[in-house]
Amino acid sequence: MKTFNLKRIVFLLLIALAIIFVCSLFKDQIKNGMQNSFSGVKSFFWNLTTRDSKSCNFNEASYDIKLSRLSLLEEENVLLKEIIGISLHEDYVFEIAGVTQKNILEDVIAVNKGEKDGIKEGMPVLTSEKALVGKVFKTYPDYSEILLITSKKSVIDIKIISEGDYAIAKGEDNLKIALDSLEKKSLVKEGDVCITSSLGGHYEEGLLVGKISSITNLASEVFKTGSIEPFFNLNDLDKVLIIKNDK
Amino acid sequence: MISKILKIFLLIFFWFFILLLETSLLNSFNLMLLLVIIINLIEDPESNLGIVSAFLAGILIDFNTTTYEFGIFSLSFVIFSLSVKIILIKFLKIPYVSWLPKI
Repeated sequence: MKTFNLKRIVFLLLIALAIIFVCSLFKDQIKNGMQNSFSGVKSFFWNLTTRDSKSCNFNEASYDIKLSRLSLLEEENVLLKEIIGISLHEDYVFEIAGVTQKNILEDVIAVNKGEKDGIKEGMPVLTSEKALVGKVFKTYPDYSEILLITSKKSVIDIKIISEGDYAIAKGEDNLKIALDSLEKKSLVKEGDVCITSSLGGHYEEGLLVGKISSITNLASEVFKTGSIEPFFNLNDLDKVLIIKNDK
Repeated sequence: MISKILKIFLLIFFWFFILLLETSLLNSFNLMLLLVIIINLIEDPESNLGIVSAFLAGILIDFNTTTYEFGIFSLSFVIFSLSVKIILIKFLKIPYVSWLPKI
């Protein structure tokens, strides 16, 4: 019992508080330094999971290097075509960024582009298929943090394409989105596609949000509610597009 | 004293590696929290390894979260670790593993 008396506990807590206070003063610099120093390792680990789940190209690589190179080029080609498609049709100025990590306990991802690349807070982030991923939440000199649309802090005004009805998509964390404020008279059904609406003023209209996976119509509720399955899959997300000239 | 500092440095590297794994590879599994709980339960209650580990894991999580207040995880992990130790010393005697290094 000599180790843990009251004095020692108070002493340990005071040391912890002092270190936390000092670290909080230099939080942003330390975060940027940590991210900058280990972004290569993080990208390597992140790509291990994304590549495995995307296709078997990388497993084949060990058997046939040439075939692997071809498939890589093909993938790159598809990505570039999609990107060119977006830029031609929408005149977006975008920055391609690589995902390096997902933050613990929250729906926030980090990408390897930051203030030095002209990234600013609030810029929308898309997948190459034009599906909305989220928006830039915080920027550091060498990296940025993206708040996913599935985060509890994210609320988006959406439009359901089939019926033209408006609703709200609220993030619920753990990569889930809730559908809210859908009018009772709405004929929206499961499987309908949701896009961003310009009503909220946060995003440009027409970015893909997700597909309605369930609808609940409770008599006690004023609106219909439900859930939305986002179009992006975190396991497939190795590159994202940050739109730099969004309003 | 030097060996103590060396052990703390090794512990910092260990937790940093776990953080890298967790944020990049196991993005839906909280390995750090699980390890902190396990270390605190199985180590000698008189050792400080659990408390230092809890603090290091907590502060790394703090550095890795954006929407939470800075320091919330490190403080709560340290308080959790101290509570486990007090319970294990005063009220509940369970066998501990002897091969875990002591700080």
